[in-house]
Amino acid sequence: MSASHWGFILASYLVCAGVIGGMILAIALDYRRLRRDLARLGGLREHQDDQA
Amino acid sequence: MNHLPRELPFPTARNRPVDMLKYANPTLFLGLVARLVPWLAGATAVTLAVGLWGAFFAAPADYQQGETVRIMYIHVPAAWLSTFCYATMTASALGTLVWRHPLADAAQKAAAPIGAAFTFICLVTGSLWGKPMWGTWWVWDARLTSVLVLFVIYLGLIALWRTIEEPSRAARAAAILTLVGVVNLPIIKFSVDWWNTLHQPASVFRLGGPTIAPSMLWPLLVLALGFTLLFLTLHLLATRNEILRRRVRRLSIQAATGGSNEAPAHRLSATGATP
Repeated sequence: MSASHWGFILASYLVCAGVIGGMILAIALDYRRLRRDLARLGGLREHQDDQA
Repeated sequence: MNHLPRELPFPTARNRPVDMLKYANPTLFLGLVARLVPWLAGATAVTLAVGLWGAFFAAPADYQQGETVRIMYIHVPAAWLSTFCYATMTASALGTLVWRHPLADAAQKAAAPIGAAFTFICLVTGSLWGKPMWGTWWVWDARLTSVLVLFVIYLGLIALWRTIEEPSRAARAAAILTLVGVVNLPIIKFSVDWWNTLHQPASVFRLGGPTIAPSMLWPLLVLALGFTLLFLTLHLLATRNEILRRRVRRLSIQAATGGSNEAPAHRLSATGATP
């Protein structure tokens, strides 16, 4: 087994972590932007009530 | 505004059918998400940690592939999730077309980028696994090509939602395209049986049981469970965002029309507003 194959293994796990991390970040940033928009439009109280 | 009770008990054997229907209400769904997500996120983290420990420290190297087999522990769960996510979207598409439920459309739209991401992981890790094992990054074999088609369908659906401005028209078009694309799922599953492919045949979900060694199977199944929990967590959060996006849209329309509700009733329903 060539030691150079660890590069392929590492790259696979890095791609996986990067994509999943990117997804989580995108969803979190989207949520923050939506809450800001809701606050601007006066709908944030309704959302907070829904979460209660 | 919604006048339904906000506090609902978790379903019991006695009240389950009624309460599960109540959770299909967008407003009650948001409350459910707020309660479920912390538990799901914790379970996801623990399951993934155990699975990764098993993949790197408990599972042995393969007698033919050596250490490279460790790519399998993320490639295979990502592949399963890419089709599971599409199956979820198909169920949501039926909910949109048959019952015209606003939550079904939101769930379908929220699942598409997640499904595309898992399919992308599957394709890239498969390529990184194929280069040292097959000697090539890519071959146009039936399994690889059908998964690539799935990825293109995901991208097409995302583009469709962004292209059509009217939400109800976009929902119908995306639901129809999703139902057309579902024919690709059995092709992906059985491509390795129907055609002579470079990709190996099924070794876990097959008649006669798994052919993979138990010491390698359990980390794979634990990571598959972890990926599934991750999908559920992200899908719930993305669906919540989609409901909020529709509320923002509804409030923007109301603000633009001076507070009067000039949008048609069916559109208000589709934006997450409740009676």
